[in-house]
Amino acid sequence: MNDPNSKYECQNDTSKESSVKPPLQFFNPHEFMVTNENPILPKENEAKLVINHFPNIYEPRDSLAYATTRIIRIPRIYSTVRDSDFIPQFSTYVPGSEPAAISNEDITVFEAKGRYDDAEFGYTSLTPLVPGLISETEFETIVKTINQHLYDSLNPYNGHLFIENVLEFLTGGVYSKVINKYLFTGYSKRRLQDLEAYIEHLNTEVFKGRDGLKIINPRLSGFLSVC
Amino acid sequence: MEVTSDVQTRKLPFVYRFITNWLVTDPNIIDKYELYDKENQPKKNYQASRHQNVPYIYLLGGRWRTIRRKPINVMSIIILIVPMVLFLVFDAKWTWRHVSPSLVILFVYFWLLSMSFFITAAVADPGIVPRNIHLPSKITHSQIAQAPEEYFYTVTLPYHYGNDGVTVKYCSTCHIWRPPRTSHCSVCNCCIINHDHHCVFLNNCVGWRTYKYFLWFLLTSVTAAGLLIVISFVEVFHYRLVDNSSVHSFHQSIREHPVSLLLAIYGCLSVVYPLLLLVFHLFLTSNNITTREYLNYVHKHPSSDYINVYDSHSVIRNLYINWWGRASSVTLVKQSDTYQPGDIRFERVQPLSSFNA
Repeated sequence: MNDPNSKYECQNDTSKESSVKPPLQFFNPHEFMVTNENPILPKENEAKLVINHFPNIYEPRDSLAYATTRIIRIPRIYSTVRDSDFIPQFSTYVPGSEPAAISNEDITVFEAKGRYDDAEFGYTSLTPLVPGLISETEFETIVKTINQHLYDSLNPYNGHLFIENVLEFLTGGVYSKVINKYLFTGYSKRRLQDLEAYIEHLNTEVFKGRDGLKIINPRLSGFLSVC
Repeated sequence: MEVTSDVQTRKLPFVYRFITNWLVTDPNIIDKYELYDKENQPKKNYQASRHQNVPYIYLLGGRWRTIRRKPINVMSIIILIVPMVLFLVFDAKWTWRHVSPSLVILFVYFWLLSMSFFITAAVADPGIVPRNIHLPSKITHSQIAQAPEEYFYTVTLPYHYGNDGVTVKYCSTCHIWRPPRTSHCSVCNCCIINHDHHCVFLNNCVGWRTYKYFLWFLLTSVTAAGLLIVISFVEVFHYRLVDNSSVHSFHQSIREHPVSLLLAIYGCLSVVYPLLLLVFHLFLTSNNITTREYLNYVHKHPSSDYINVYDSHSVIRNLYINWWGRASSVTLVKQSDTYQPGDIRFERVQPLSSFNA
């Protein structure tokens, strides 16, 4: 983005679309790299480890679940719908296959190369999640459904939302406080409840056989990332 | 160490508990006096917030909140209530009979609307993001031992149109990767989605969930003030508008309706600030830019080419999104929910620092 050639191009060109910036590429900002201080095989400590899974913060720190499970964060993506600053959408890229992810042509699945913070990591952005625990298509379906629910709930051009907002203005906010709470649920909240029901369905039925696999409700994580 | 045993062994009287644990709760005071021991764990989320320097006070069992600063919002409410009371006591009946009942009804209606929107904007959750969600590694002694360097960079990710992206930054205090337009308010010490500004008169931040109430408040209060001005001036100059009035001069009119003149002047004075704000926010919303972005980027550096990626390049669309299109959605951190012990969102973790010992 700070390419000196493009800066000078700006000055000479008179047209508005003059700055030739290289197109931005998406990647998962939650990842970071550390030196491999505890390699699994003794001689393998040249490359840096990519940290892409994290301690399970949704369990109390003294529980067994905290010690044995990890969280993979699916980041938010901003290039798929308009108004993505307030409609959270999550990236459907398989973790590790984003356009600007750290990758290596020889490595196609997660391979543990070193230990850090009581867990094992590899040299690329690939995670043990796909295709280890879920298949690629399943992953995409899940994230796409979550995205669709969120879009339905918060899309400002939705007729339901407009009518509810007008009603709320005319009643001075009483509509959402009294009627919505005690008589029927507002449209936006209903869609979010659908989302929670879907996640519940996934965790209890679809992931039944697969030990330890669980999707955390995005609302708990503030719609910041799907875990 | 027998310092707090007095407080713990004595059972606090119900009225005291009702007032300090439900009616008005300041979690910082609870923390200071260690009012909770092992048996008496905090039952609700708002009682458990342990963060440093978060000056929130919770009212009515965590449903309302305000900031522990000078109570300017109380002064604002008094400024709102005074003309209404004066009007109802002195002028309402006269205006109803001699001018038109519809004016009275309209004024009362808009006043009620503006009062309701003011209270909603002042006590609602503005869109606070839960903390400690994106911790990079395990916590040791309430802090992260080694902060990754990457978490201090500003990341630019592609946006829906154009080549200019959105900037995403990690908040070291809240330990989250902030979505674009989410900012950390220095007064509230929290990250708030779509943060617009911290309003001193509301004693609350204006953000994702409170922006539309703020805008509606401005609109209805300007309308109500306008109606008040019209009603009051009509009352004062009524003798000129009708033929068979018993009043024949301005001085006599003022003696008959003293409060109307007072209300007219009050209306003229009090409409100025909300009107200015309303015009300013109409300008901002027609460009879909927040106050914070405007003041930081456009106003400070007028020559720089700041590109507002959120502008949909259509004034109608921008106005629609901000005034009529926003869903209030849900609170992300529901303070009135039952507290789960070990919930990391309420634990104190030191801010991420780049100086590692």
